[in-house]
Amino acid sequence: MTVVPSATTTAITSLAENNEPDIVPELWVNSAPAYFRLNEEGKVLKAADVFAEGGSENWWVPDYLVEEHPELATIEGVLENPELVGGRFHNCPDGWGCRIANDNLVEAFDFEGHGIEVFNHGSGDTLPASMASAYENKEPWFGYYWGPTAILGRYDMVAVDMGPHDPEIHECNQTQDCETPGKSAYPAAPVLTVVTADFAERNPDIFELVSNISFGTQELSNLLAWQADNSASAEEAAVYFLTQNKDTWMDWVNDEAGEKLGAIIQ
Amino acid sequence: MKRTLIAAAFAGVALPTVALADCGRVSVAEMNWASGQIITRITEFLMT
Repeated sequence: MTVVPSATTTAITSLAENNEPDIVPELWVNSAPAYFRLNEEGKVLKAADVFAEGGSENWWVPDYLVEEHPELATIEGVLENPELVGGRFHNCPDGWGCRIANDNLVEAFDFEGHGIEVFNHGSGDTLPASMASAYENKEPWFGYYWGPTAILGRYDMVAVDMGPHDPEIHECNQTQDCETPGKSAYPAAPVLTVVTADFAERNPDIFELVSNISFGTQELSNLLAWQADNSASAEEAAVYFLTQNKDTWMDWVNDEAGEKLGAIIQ
Repeated sequence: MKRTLIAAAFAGVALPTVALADCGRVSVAEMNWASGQIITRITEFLMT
């Protein structure tokens, strides 16, 4: 097996132009729109929702705040009680997709009118650091984050209910010059394992295997938190998962492989 | 203690991926972020 270092744009471009790599796990297709065309043309197949619940983007508050003030679980409750969340919204740094959407949502929900100050983080490091520091000190915190990530595995954050997702409103919110910012929750982002049709046809067994590989959001967040806490490599984290979740992956593989692999991982 | 456990677990599966030849050449993308890398490693192991 050859492991090909890649990323979202690189992977989809390579699939379109060279029909490889054979297998692309964790493709965030909303960020790789060419996927939909290639899929329609029959060149690539969706093997699995590798994140069973999709990727998630949300506004969050810590669980200890919601335990004391259950109304903070909805955006209405936050807007009516800005002092309970520290009167501040932790926003994405400039240059991130979420910054554009948040800037429009902040306007749509009238943060200014409700007395919520927007703090635009200068980098992708200080945003999670502020969440970590607040959580460790049991202080108020309200802001944006996405998962599955290590930090959402480490801290029990509650996703603030932002109401329904409206595709048209969200599409406008995702553009910098959106003239009519509106209220819409973030959609679940489909995150797939994609396989070329040629490969799937030649290797039905492998296609079946990768079709079964799928992770829950919390499961993956916990794994990432474990990796960060232990400064573990990706390989060590994979081994940790395999040793801790044998029942899960034994269901993914066929009997023959199960017998062989089961003997390696005790 | 934790490190020992990791090392022990790791030693258990750090076997050469002998069966690769059986399933021919397979190329698998590895995304350049934490979860993508772990998923590729897990996939790699299960394919062997």
